[in-house]
Amino acid sequence: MRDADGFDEFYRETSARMLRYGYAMTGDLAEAQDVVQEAYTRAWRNWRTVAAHPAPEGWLRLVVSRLATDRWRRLSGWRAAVRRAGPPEPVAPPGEDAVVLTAALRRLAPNLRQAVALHYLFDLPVAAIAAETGAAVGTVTSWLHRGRTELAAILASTRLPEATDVE
Amino acid sequence: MSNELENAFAALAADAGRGRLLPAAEVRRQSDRRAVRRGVLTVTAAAVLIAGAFGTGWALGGDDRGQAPIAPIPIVTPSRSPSVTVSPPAKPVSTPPSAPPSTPPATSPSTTAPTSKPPTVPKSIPARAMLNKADGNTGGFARLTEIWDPTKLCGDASYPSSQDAAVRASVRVIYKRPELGVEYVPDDVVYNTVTVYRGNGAEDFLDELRDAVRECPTGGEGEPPPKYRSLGSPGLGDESVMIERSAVGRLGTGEPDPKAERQITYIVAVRVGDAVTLLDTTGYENAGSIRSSVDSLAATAADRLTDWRG
Repeated sequence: MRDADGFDEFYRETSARMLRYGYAMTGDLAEAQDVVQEAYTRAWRNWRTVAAHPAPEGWLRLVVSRLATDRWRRLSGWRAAVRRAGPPEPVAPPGEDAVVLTAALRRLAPNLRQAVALHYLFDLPVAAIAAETGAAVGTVTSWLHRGRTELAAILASTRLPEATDVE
Repeated sequence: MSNELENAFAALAADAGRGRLLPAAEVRRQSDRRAVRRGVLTVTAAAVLIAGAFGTGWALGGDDRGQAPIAPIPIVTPSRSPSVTVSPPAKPVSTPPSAPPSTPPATSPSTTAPTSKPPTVPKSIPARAMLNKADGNTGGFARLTEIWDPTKLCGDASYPSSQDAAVRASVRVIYKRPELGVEYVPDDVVYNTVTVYRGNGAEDFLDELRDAVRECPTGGEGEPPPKYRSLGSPGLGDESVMIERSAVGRLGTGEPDPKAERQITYIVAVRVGDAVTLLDTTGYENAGSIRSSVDSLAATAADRLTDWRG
């Protein structure tokens, strides 16, 4: 039998981080809830495999990343089922800074978004991101550089009108 | 720049605090339910809307759309680690990831029905390969737009062969014994799914199903969850397996009643070459399936598959 206590402990320890990651990847908190919930649903179905994995949290992140892409969302069709049974959507409005960042992240290519999110939300070094994404270290270094640069440029352009308004 | 991004991500992390997730136990419960009998809730909801189609009770919809060829439903085979959903929308035949995260994510999963190995893999499942409207004796027949897969008996059931599923289709037949008059309600609601596999996928699937019964003496939707046991081979096709599913009995209202007779239903898988026809009987209202009827339907399904692929 699968270890329910082990899963529950893992869920408690990691789900908040995973929700942040899902939020960064999807740009929408309600959608992130669905994605993360689905990822844990699949983790429980494969719990013996996940629990024995050297990086269970990385396993989850991979699923979240995939579910967060348009391609997998379109193909899977799971979201309606999750929506019916999942948690209620957030009631409070999003924070302004978060809105700005998620809008900027959406404009990044998925691989850049993933690399930047793994770096800033999980503090993963380049080698770990490379292992998780299956890309070469040099490639990830490039992704991170481009991701940061593009993100900073988008954020700067987003905030420019505010400076104009002040005048 | 870096500090600005760190602050931005910190704001995002704080904002994620608005989100809510289900308790872990609820996640597990939903996972177990969905793994076994996906689509049941949808069907039940539809039944409420169209109750009366077969008199009173929990009648299921029999949206008859005739005997047109059944459209193929492409199976998505991830190019690397098997991941996420392998099925068409909604009723997913889900194959969760089993590969380590160090494996590079799939970059270009194929979504097309395979055609590269003629003549073994057809482009679609023809209606003549499956149970049909006439088999049910009720007129209740529907092609399903989603694949009906009852084989996730519990979370421990594993089907790597799903990666070799090339094309598949599902139908639903509402069955009544032919000798019963119109005043009788149906006997059973039967789902028939035909799958053509690449390589040795069909043989692997039968092995995996037998393993699943061993791994899952209990599991799935229901409280308490149903029990499973293998009834061995019914002697159909090249090989076959029959599984008995025993669920808690229910009152006429649908409420579980431990004192009521247990509801017995069946799963039958028959392999013919590279194809498998799968029957899932679900009973009718609070009644289980009639074994002799299931045997007859399974034989019919096996004959249809043999005529097509044998």
